[in-house]
Amino acid sequence: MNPVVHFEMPAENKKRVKNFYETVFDWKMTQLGPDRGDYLLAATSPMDGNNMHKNKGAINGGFYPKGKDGTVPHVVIAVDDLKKSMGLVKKSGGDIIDKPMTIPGIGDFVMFKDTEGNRVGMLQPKDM
Amino acid sequence: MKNPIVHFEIPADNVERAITFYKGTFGWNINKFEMADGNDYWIVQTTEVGEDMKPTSPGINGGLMQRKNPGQPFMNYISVESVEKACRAIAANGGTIIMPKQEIGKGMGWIAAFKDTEGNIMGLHEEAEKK
Repeated sequence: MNPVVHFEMPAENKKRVKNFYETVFDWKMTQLGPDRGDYLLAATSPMDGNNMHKNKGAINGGFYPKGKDGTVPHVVIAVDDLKKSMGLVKKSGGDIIDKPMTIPGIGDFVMFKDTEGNRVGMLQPKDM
Repeated sequence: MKNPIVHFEIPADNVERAITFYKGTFGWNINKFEMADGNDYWIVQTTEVGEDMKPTSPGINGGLMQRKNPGQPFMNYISVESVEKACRAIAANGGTIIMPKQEIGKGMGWIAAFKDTEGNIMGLHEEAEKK
């Protein structure tokens, strides 16, 4: 099984959304720079030294600028072989959106549409 | 940090088609579950679970349901100690409650839904007290 390991949400105002989730849910928000797509990391559950969740059954996520990359929240599924999974998505009636991209230090990523029109992400983590 | 994302929910116009897609593409286990209100809900397992149905490997599980209105989005749930307290904090910090607290029945606790400051819709879940 390929697990759901991450979530992503769009934000118009990073400062505002950072403040909201820090204050309301006590998440740990970390703003990355322009070299990392101005991504705002959201840790919702504590991690150990190897960046693994201390408590199972929780995921972290991030916020990206609302716009061309999406306007509604989605989840990210970890896969062993991105190319193979892209083939399966198409074969099973889904659509690949855009070309896969390499996220430095993280892995290879692509967005797809499922049969219901929902946008979902797929990530082949680095070193897999 | 004590309010993690613990659950996701996939809306589907055609539930059978969506089940076939996710089983075939990602090898997920998807099983029908009758809710206390009589509606069907499908439990979606993307990661290994123990006897208590809680994940034992990285990742979270979720659900799949018939889309109830055309704009119904993919939704994630945040686990909170108190839905009431969280709703007050959301309203006080610029969010909006779009579905007030309701019981899901069968000892599964309470849920609510809100819009954050960016217009994202998310769910809240409070576990029922352990007996």
